[in-house]
Amino acid sequence: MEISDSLSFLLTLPLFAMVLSLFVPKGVQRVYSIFASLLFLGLTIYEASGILFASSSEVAGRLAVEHQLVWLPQLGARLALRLDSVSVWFVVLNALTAVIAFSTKGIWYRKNPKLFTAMGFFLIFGLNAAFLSLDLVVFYLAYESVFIPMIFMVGVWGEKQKATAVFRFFLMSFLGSILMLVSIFYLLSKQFKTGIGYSSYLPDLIPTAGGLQGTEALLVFFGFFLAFAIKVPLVPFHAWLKDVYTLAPFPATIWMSAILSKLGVFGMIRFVGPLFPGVMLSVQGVLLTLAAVSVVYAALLAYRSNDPKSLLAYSSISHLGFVMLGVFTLKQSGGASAILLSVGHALVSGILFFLLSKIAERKDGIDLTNPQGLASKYPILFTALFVAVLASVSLPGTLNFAGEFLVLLNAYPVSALCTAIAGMGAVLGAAYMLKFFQQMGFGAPSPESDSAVAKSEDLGGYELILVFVLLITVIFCGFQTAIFLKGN
Amino acid sequence: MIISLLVFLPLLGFSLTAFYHFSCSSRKKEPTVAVGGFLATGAMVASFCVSIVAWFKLRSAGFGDASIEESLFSWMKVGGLQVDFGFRFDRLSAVFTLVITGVGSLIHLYSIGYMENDGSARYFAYLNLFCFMMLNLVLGSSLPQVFLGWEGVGLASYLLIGFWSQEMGNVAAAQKAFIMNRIGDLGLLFAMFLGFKFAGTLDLAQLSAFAFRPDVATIFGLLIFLACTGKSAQIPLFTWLPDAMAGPTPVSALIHAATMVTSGIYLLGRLNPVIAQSPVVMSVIGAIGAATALMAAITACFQTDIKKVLAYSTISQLGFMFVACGVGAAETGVFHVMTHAFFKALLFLGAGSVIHALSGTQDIFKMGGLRRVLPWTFWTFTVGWAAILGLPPFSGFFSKDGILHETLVASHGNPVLFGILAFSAFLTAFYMTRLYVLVFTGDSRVSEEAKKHIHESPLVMVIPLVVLSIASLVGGWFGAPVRFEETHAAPAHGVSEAVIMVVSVGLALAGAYIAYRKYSSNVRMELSKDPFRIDEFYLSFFGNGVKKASSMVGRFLEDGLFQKMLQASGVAVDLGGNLFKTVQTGSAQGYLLMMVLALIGLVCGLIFGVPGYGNF
Repeated sequence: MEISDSLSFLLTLPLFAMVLSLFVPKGVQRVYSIFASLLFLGLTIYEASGILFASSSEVAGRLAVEHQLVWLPQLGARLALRLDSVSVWFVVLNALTAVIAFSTKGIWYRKNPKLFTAMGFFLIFGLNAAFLSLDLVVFYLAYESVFIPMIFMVGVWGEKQKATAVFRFFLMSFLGSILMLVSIFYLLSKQFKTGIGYSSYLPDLIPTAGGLQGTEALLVFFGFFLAFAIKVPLVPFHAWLKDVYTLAPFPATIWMSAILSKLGVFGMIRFVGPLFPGVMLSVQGVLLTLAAVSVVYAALLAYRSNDPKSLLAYSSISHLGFVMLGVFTLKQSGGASAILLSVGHALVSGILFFLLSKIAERKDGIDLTNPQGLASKYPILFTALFVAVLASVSLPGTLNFAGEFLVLLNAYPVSALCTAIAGMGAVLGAAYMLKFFQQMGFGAPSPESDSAVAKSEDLGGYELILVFVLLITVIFCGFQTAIFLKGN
Repeated sequence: MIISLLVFLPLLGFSLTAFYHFSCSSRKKEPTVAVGGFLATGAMVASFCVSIVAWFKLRSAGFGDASIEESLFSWMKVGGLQVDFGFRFDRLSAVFTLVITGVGSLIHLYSIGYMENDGSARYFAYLNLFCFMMLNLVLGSSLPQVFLGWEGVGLASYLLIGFWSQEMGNVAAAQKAFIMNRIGDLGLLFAMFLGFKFAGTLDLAQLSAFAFRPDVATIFGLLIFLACTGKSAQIPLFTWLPDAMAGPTPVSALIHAATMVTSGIYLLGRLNPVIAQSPVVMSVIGAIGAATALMAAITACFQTDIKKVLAYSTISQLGFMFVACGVGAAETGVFHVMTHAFFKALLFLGAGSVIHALSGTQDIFKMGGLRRVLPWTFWTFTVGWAAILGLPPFSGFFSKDGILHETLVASHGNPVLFGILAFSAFLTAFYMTRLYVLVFTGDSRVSEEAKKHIHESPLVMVIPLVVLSIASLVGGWFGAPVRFEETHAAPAHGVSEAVIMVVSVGLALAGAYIAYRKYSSNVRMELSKDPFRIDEFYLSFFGNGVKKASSMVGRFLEDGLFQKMLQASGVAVDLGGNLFKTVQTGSAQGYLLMMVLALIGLVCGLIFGVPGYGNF
């Protein structure tokens, strides 16, 4: 009984919070959602602490919790939820990202705030369902359900021209996921032919997937791969990203870069890896190349951006290229490093977009072509931003360094060339992130910015505490990597 | 825990100073230099005292192979890799530690005076951060920890070069330093990957004891050396250092002369057993070092900015040290690191004192006759000048002479290297005397405006000058502070040290004499020149290259291909979508509803359909 409670509350609590938000007055929606998400984060960490802080992967494996409930017997679909040393990180990140996203301020708390809060909690629910599910059909449904709040957020609170962006986002993602659905059904029908009956439970499907041969296996694999590659995204499946990230309201951007992209990473680790080990191995060269090219390609695009939001959007693709490089080493140590880097990237990109939203509150229409000289005006805000930038360029001592370093270290014996290509991304990363920071922070403060900021003060209060705690976490975890790696 | 204490004291100073800074600025009070300087300097002096205690502890253990090891916690452990965060204090680290904390303390003290008017507590926090990172670099027990320090000092250097960040020129210089160093850092990063692949460890002691395959050792050594060329400003990654002079002068003295730029020598010394396995690597190091020494010495003769002359001089002297490492006499290189730290810090601080007195003037052709108005600065600068020329009995004489001697007698030495270095030494005497004569002797060419405020520096600045000039005098009397066992090959040529000594002192005096004749009277203005124009070349080739690549990729691939494809598919679907628009709202919700309906249909079909439904 206790076991099922601990898992189902990860799903029921967000739904409960969603319903409750409809009864909370409009004026206190921000306070309510921050408070509720903090509470949820606390509960999540408390429940997960056993696995989270387990000293080794064996201990974590023993503590893994699984709960099953037959749901659609005709399809063999069941609610199989599993919290283990892989999903635990994504579940915690989900709760954490929600705190950051809800802590932003803006039009979403003025125009239709109840809808925003409700959608936010629905998103948490959908993501947790996806991260916990070990059943492919349920996973697929959860995976798709995540679109609903995202499309609402971009559609209702996004910038102008959002309709096209939303449409493209939808189009590309849908293309990927529909192929994944086809792949799932193909696997199910194969399984049925063998006479076992339907079961979309992952362990049951592994032998079926293993029985596929040649082109057949490749095609089924591709259905899954494409869905996740679009989600991450990997170059050349990234074209939807820039407009969506740029036009979306800040909380949606935070959710997308910090956690929705991880849905793709998670899918590769949880499903694609175990289902198609043979195919992965045979196309490993292609996969590693895609990851390495993503790093450099996106970094070059980031370097060219003069809009801070699209610069961060491309930098996100670049860093996720490193994550995928780790996943595609097809080694346990590489995967563990990739998860570590995922956590780092989620935290840091969340902080970066959050701080950018704070800057946007203080100055409209920031453009990186001319120096803005804002650092002397908001020393605390820009000190925090600088630390986040350092983490983003993976300076040693941050979690992101440990992640990138270990990913590259693990990738090097597999492909020195791809590692070298990705390594160049580290230099380019420094170039564009410094441009990002310097053009906003340094230079003589322009008279125009003096008048525009009369209304606002430096970062302080709750927001400062939040950012401070997050940054300390990034640095602390950068030295205490054992909890992520667990001796893998 | 004595080593941890000495490393973490500067971090404590950093935290306290930063806390003080922010607590002031949140109360809208100006954080003063005095309080920040006191906290930061106190932390450094304390760290220096602990270093001395540690040195005596090591001495009582008998030096040699003795070391004090401290392991704090496990940093990274995955896939066979085991990296502990800890410190190893042996003789090589000890020399660097004493230089960092000792010279560091003096420069902190000096800064209290120098930064009085346009500094803040923030400046001292950065200085402390730098020292913390630098100590990690020289005391870290594993390569990742060295890398932590390696990039950490780069960060501190970035912050301090761009300290006056309202001026975008300073920011650009800082950025250049950071990015060029990052390129070099890739060398260290990949050296780690290679090292781990073959040796299975990144612990420095185990790694340097590992017998690599010859080809692997060569690549490993070259990668390490690439990192050194970045941090220690050697060809091809040296052009950031002259620009780095945009930072406050004490920073130039500490980071860009005495400590950070010598990290490369430390690393080569630390990994000496591996480096020395490969003759190719040794030759490359020697050749690059000699070429850099010569190139920078020539350029220094054409500079008019007092700090730029010293910057190129630093690059040139670092070249000398690399030659020492390359010929197989790393210990002499380390010896020169130490003496150079004393006299170059002294020269920079002297230059700072001059600049401070002249309200910011840096052009040596707008100085002159300062001997009378700045007596303390003049006498201490004279010591520095004599030391860098290598006149006996000043410290530079012993170490520079040692390097020249080693180029002939060490295992990888050769006469060409000797020739190049001897000529560079001659040029060194020329440009340093040119600077010395133009600044301190002859008639004053100082502008009327600057003349009004001219003054000798306060006591906090003079004390470090005096202490450093004593060190520059006696620093070489006790010989090289470190010995590497395996480099003691039998002398190849029977050249006596006396001959070398006569040659080198003779060349120094000749260079000095020529410069004196040319610049002591009838001074004609000169314009600053860069005879090699490597910086311009890099800018046009790599700087614009990356910009071009970025805009090409953006224009042709991203906008021209991927976004077009997306648009095209959008148009195709839009045509179909228009049909639905008549019945649906046409908004995002509309599409969403379609999707949900479709999904429900699919799932229902599966549930209620016949089992054969799935047979596609």
